[in-house]
This record gives sequence, C-alpha cells and structure tokens, in this order.
Amino acid sequence: MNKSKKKKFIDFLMREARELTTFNFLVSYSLTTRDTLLQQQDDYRKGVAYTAYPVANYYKLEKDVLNNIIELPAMVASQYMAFFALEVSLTSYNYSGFIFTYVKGSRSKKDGKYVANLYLEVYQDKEMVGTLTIKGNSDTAKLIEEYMTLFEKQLAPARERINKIQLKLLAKVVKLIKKHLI
Amino acid sequence: MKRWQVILDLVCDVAQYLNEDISEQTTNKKGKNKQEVEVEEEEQDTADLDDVREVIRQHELLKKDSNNEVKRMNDFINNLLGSDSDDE
Repeated sequence: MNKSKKKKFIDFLMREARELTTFNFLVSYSLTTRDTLLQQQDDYRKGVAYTAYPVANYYKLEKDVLNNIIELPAMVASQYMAFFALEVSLTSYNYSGFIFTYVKGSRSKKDGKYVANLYLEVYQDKEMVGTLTIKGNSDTAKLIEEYMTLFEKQLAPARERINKIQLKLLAKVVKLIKKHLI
Repeated sequence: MKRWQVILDLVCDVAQYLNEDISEQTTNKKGKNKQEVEVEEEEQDTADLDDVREVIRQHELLKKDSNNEVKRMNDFINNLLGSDSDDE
C-alpha cells in the first residue's frame, strides 16, 4: 500500500472505529441500584475509551472523553423504578425513557381493593417532556408492566450480547489501526 | 613454470569462481526475497480489507438493531404521553 492509500485507509478506519465507540444500553434501576448502575456504566465507558485510545488521540478528544460523565434521572421518592435507552459515545451521552413511583391511589369500585396510582416522568433526549399520573388498574398501567417485563427479560439481555459483539468489532478495527499506523 | 606459480594460478581461479558464484546467488536471493515480501504484503493487505468489509457488514446490522430499540422506546413514550388524557 503506498503512502497516500495508507493515509486514506487509516482515515477510513478511524471513522469506522469512532462510530463503533458509540454504544447503546438499556438500563433499569431503582433508588437502591442507581449508584451501582452508574458505576458500571462508568467502568464500561472507561473500558471503551481505553480500547479506542488511538481514536481519541487521532481526533484529539482526550479532554472531552475525561469530561463525559454519565448522569441519569432520579426521583425524590422513597421508591422508584427507571427504564432508559442510553446512548454513550466517546464524548457525549443521551437518554430517553421514563421513571415512576407509586402515589396515593383509591379503592376499586368493583371489589373495594385499594390500588395505588403511578406517577411518571417521561424523558426524551435528556429532557423531561411530560409527567403523568395513572390509575394503578388502568390499561396504561398494564401496558407499562408489560413493557417493563419485555425490557428486563428480553431487550436488555439482547442488548448486552450485541454490545459484546460491538466491543469485539471495535477491538478488531483498533488492532488494524495500530498495525497500519506503524 | 614453478610449482608455486601453478598453485597461485589455481587459487586465483578458484577465488574468482567462488566470488562470482556467491555474488550471483546473493542477487538472486535478494530478488526472490523482495518478491516474496511484496506478495506477502499484498496478501496481508487483502486480508485486512476483507476484515474491514466484514466489520462494516456486522456494524450495519448492529446499527439497525440499535435504531429499532430507540424507535421502540420512543414509540412507547409517545404512547404513554398520548394516553395521558385518557387516564387522568
């Protein structure tokens, strides 16, 4: 490969590697697990940054990589559950999803059973786009329950597997970059 | 002719012969090595390009999955926001 071709090839590999450093996560957490989850995310982010060090160096992003600290929404409540699709690149992050807690409800007219209501905050692109209060026995509450099960049992584990493949691809591209940079 | 002259001539001939033979062999070897290295490099480059092609193919599939996930989450969020008025 001549010099000009080699430079183009490295540029191309760098672009590909940079794209591969953007990871998607499906995260769910509660009041008690949020800190652990944030720590896990931070470790993963650092791992990716370490693997992709030649990329950060090539684009002079080291400072931005260091400043990319992930924060996720919390609620002032004794208990809450949060479900977010989180996207983390070398230098930024974004999330969309919802967080909810149980609030004072009412007795069912049918059987007189007490049902708590759900208070939800909905986020899109890191911004809170709405709040809702839903009756605990409504169709929407059932829909949320179904989505939560799907999220935890299927979507999140599948996402973890995909991320493992992506990390391998990234390592492969970085290996090629190192090889051709010499 | 003296004996030492005969031996000297012989030594010179042998030296010349050996010298020619060695230099020719070296050139041939060098040429061969250069060719071999070039072929090896070409093979290596082709293998690297094949690797990159495979990475791109897999990356495209991953991107598709990620976009679907985000779309699913956004659809769900929009459904929730849409149902706001129904429940309250």
